[in-house]
Amino acid sequence: MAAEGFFSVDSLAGVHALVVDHDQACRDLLSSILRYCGALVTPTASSKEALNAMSIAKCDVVVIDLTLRGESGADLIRRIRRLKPEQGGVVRAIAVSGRSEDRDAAMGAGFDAHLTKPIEPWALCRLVSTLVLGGRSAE
Amino acid sequence: MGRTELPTDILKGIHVLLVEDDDDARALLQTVLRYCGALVTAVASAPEAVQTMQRVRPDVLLSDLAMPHQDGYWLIREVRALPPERGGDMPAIAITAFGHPHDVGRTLAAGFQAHLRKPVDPWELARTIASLAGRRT
Repeated sequence: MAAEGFFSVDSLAGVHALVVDHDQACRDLLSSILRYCGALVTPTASSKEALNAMSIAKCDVVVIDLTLRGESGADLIRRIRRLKPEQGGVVRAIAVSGRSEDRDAAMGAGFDAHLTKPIEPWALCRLVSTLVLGGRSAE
Repeated sequence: MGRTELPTDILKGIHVLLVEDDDDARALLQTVLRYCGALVTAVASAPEAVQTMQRVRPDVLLSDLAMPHQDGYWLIREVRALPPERGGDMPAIAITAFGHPHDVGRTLAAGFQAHLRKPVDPWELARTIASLAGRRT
């Protein structure tokens, strides 16, 4: 529960997270959670916006809704995986969707992890910490 | 500064003048700088930057090089022509887009102290600004 699951408000300080979700409410929620835990967050609404943001500033982790409009989340991660390191291509990636059955397809497309909605906030922050910081702050 | 230290204070008390014609890039860089604690004045052109410097005194200039009409080279010439008390000796960082010529020698000779390429590493950017502002990192 909340007390057990509490995640320190500065645990993700120094982590730049790119959130990609066409649904504004969901985008705002994911961004709020990550900001609460101290991350620098760049919210984007589409694959195009996400790639543009990645051409401006490198990020440490991308959190992508699989059901993006237009280009899907799986298509987007394939494009990100083709970027060179100097283009910001080395990044950890978390897929988000409403179905746990999407996990295998997400991992096959190039994601490092998959979370099923409804998202448990502290689980998201712990996962980002584990992927980016090696779990230093999740302990 | 690594990720084992908090970067949110690293630019506290530092006034950065950000000059970037691209709306998305300006917004994102502004977010990065504010996250790290900086006071940010963001403008969309080199002439706007010169006007701004007549009103307020930034600690560090961060400018895109490729801008329409007057570019970053024009801007640094204007800045370096100012007397020190009006910001003529202010530290300056140039930014270029990926794929654009990255001629560090030319940039430094023009009067910039550092040259970063997009996509910029937010923490490297913060470290560079802090260092040029005389802040220990």
